[in-house]
Amino acid sequence: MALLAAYGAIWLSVRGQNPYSGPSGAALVELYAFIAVASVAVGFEARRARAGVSGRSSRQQWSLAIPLVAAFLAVYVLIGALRYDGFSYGIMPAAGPLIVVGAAMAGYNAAREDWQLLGVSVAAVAVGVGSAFAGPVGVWGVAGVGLFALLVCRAIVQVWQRRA
Amino acid sequence: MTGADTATRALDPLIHVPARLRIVATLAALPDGDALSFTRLQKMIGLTPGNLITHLRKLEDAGYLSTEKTGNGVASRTSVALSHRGRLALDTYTAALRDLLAGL
Repeated sequence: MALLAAYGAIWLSVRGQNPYSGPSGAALVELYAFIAVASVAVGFEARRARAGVSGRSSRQQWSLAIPLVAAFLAVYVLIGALRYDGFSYGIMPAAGPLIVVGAAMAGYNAAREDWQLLGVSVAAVAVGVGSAFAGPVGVWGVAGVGLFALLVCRAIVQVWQRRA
Repeated sequence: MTGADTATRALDPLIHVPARLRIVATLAALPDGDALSFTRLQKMIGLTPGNLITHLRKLEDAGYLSTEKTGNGVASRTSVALSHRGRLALDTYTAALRDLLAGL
């Protein structure tokens, strides 16, 4: 719900803009606060779950974290370059991370033969690609709703698997 | 000899003890090549340190797990990992248990 609210706030701030001037500062702060809180929560939970565990898999988590952070930063380097050259980059902040980080996650999960998470990663890439065609205003709405639907589907599958 | 007798014989008595079954099952949940610290294992299983050491020693003597101690004094840390033999023994045990219960 927080994800949908964060993307929704940006979509509301850009809806009806003509000419397009980009999301408001408050909406961007809300989105990046959500990303920061989610990252800290995931890191805290992963650390708690891995307490006392040593060996190969504790080193392998870095092989996921490093490409993910690099992929995420690469999107913003590209945005900076496009902005510097005076090109439109409106769809990039919403669609870019989904496509690039989703592709990095897909590669990692394929190597681990985790087919379910591979499916989630590929679906995230598909949401990113689909949202990119919605234009700079629609991209936030499509990406937010698409990601929300993806997370709900994943939660339903997990509940169903636990019951089976 | 019936199928149930064969299955009962295949139930490894070393793993069949509830506390040791929990130890082996907990360690088997880790990916191959990973180890768990003694303190975390103790928290997860809920045994006293002395009781846990006794069970670990029996499993280690059978070659089902390996322990490694690093550091000295208060900084010492003992890690426990399931061996390949231990993983195979648990697979055989679970297969035997499934066979035994299949007739119910």
